[in-house]
This record gives sequence, C-alpha cells and structure tokens, in this order.
Amino acid sequence: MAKAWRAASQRASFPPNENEQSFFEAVGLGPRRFDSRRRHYRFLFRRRALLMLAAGDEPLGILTVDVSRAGLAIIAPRQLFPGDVAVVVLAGPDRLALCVDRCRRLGPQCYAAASKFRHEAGEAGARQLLREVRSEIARAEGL
Amino acid sequence: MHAKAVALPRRQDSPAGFERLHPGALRPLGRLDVDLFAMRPGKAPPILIGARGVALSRGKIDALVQDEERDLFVRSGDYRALSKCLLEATANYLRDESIPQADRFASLQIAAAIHFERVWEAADPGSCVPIARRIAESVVALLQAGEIVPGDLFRAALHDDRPSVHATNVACYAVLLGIGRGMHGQRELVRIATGAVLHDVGKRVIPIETLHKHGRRDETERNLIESHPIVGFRELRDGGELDWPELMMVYQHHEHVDGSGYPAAVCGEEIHPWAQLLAVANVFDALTAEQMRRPPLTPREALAELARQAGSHFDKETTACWIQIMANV
Repeated sequence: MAKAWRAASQRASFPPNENEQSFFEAVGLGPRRFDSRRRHYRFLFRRRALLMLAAGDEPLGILTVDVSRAGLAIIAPRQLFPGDVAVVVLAGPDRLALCVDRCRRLGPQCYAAASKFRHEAGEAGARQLLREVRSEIARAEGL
Repeated sequence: MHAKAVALPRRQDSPAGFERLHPGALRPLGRLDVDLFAMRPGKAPPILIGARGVALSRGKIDALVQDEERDLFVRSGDYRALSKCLLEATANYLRDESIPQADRFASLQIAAAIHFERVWEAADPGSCVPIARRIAESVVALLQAGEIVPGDLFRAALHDDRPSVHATNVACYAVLLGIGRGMHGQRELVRIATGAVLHDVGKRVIPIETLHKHGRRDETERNLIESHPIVGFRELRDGGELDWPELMMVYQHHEHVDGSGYPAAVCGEEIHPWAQLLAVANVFDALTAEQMRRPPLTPREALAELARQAGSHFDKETTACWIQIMANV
C-alpha cells in the first residue's frame, strides 16, 4: 500500500500540528464530547489508503483517521463534496464503499472528510475493520 | 448598464398583520382584488385608502408612487391573493415597456412569493427546480428588457427577511453582477439566477425561532445554521436537475476567499466564481434587509461593509464591480 500511495498523483498532507509519527502513533477511542449525538463510538484508525472517486479517475492518496460502525473519517488531498460516492482501498483485500457526508479544509492538501458506509458490503467490511481496530487497541493497551 | 442618483428608500417597520408593497407593483392590475392601506411614518395604524374591487387607473398609481411620504400595505392574509393575481398577469407585464422596469420587478417579486412557497414547502426541493427556473427566467427577461437602473430596482424592491423576498432580490443582484462581470448569455444568466433563487433552500430544515433568534446563538444553533449549504446542496444534487456551477452557488455561498467561511473553509480559486458572485449579492441583501436580529443598513453603509471585507471575505474584483453598479444608489 505504501508504494501505491506514494505513486498516487495527489497525496494528503498530515493535519496541521501533526507529523507522520504523531499521526500514526495515535491509537484508541476517538474523542467524544459529553453532548455528542453520535450513535456509535469512533476508534482511531490511522492508515494510508487510496480513494477511488469514479471509474477511470486517478486514485487519491488519503489518510484514514477514525472508523465507527457508521462510517470512516479520512484526510483527502483535495476538496470532496457531500454526496460524492467513493471506494476506499486499504492494504489487503478490504475495499469500503463510502458516501461523503461533509468535508472541511484544514490546510494545503489536507481536507478532513466524514463519510458513511454505503451499503451491506461496506458495513460488512466495516465490521471486519472494527474487529481489527479493537484487537489493535487491546494489543496497544497490553490486554 | 446605467446608474443614476436616487433618493434613499425610506424605511419603516411594517405594522403587525400588514405587508408592505411598492405602489408601482400594482401597475399590471386593472383593479384592486385586495384592500389597500397607507401609513405615514409614526402614524400607525395604516388607514384604508382603496377597498377591493376599486379600479386602478394609471393616474391613481402615479399619485401613489409620487407620494413618498406614505408607505403602502396590504393585510398579511391578502398577500397570497395579491401574489396570485400578479402571477397570473406575469406574461402580460414582464415585457410591457409602458410600465417602468423597477415597477415590473416589484410586481414580479410579489408574484414570486406564491411560486417560492412551493419551493420552500416541498418535501423534495429538487422537484422544484423547474419552478425556481421559471422565477429565474422572469428575472432575467425583465433585466434584459431595457436599460437597468439599479437604484430604481433597489427602491422598488421589498427588503424584509421573507425567503421569497431575499431569493428574488439576490437573484436580481446576482444577474446584475453577472452582467457587470461580462456575462450576457441568457442561458448563463438564467442559471445564475436559478442558483441564487435556490441558494438558501437548506434553511427549510432550520426552526424559525433559531433563524430569527435575538441575541447570541449557542454552538448547536450555529452548527445547524451553518449546515444549510450542505443540506441544500445534497437535496438539490440528489434531484439531478441543476448544473455543477448552480450547485456550487448553493454549497459555497458562505465561503470566504481567505478560507474563514463555511461549510468547507476552502479559499481563493477553490470557490466557484458564481459562488463568489452570489456571496456579494447575498450579503448586500442581508445587510440592507429589515431583520428581526438587527436594523437594516443603508445601501451606502452596506457597500462600505462589503468594501471592508473585500479580499478577506469577498473576491476583490467582484466586490469592486458591485460597488460600481450600486455607486449612485
């Protein structure tokens, strides 16, 4: 994946005040406000991945930020729009079908986008992803 | 485009239960189908000056237009009926050069209210794009029908916070600005006007009490208000009737060129030129409108505010163009 990511013509930058080390080291539960109306917990899930927006389009090199049962937060190298449909390709066989919910610019080549899993296939992929993330958290915490 | 000096419009709050109108808006009607009231500043309540059924002669309307000391009103309950009458007569007056262009705009603005009601109340606003397109076509036909005097248009237009009034004013300003920026193709101008008519359609999901709240809004309320470009964009994108530049007007009209806007905080050229154009028209109308949250600014004050934010919130050239268009208002 690292090779494919580097080959992408557009690659996401790390968010302001973060570097490669701090970004990828983060593990655990995502931040949750006391008045949050989110239905599902978010787990930090930091990976390099590719985003395919449409067939034939160049893949974008993205960073995944966190994952929940409902969707995936990513950093993209350019602006995405609500309703954009995309497929995220992770290392290995996992592919997640997503629909972009909102997107906000954080800096140059750094656009934070929240997305929802699109359909059953996406949800099944997400469940598998969540299992991996949970075991990763357990390993990190020495459980 | 021609601009001439006109007197600043007098402004007074509409009394409860009444809606203001410009007397010129009545020109397309042969007779009154609603009761007509007038009020001098500070002399509430309005008094009846024309009962329904009375014939409306050109001389009578000229006299009303010339009497700048009185504002005209209809009962709020009658506004819909007046809107319907003017809507039915649209085809007759839109290109009638015997009626001043600004008066035709005033008629069109009232006529659009009943159209816009359907856009605002529809479960799926995407299905209402044809209606918005019709309003847009009328606005463009009117503005292309003769010499434009922005000051007269401003004076004849309503300036309150009703969605239909804001939408028609912004559509008119956006088209004027589009023409000022060198766009003359009718199709292009209609698309700009359509995006302008629909730009706030995402506000339908916001409770009225939040929209018109006095005082500071809390974070949840701010987030709700700032979500309206996303809501409108999604609904209209799903409808599949609008072109991408029109959708960008809906999505990006609160973005600032320095990246301090919302919803995406994008900056500079990432903001579509039509959205940059709409941003100027939108804020000018918001600043000069009677709103529950604050008193209106005069056009001159509003232009000064736009000039202050040119280069940070608004594109410099677009703002300069608008200031030039409205210079003598």
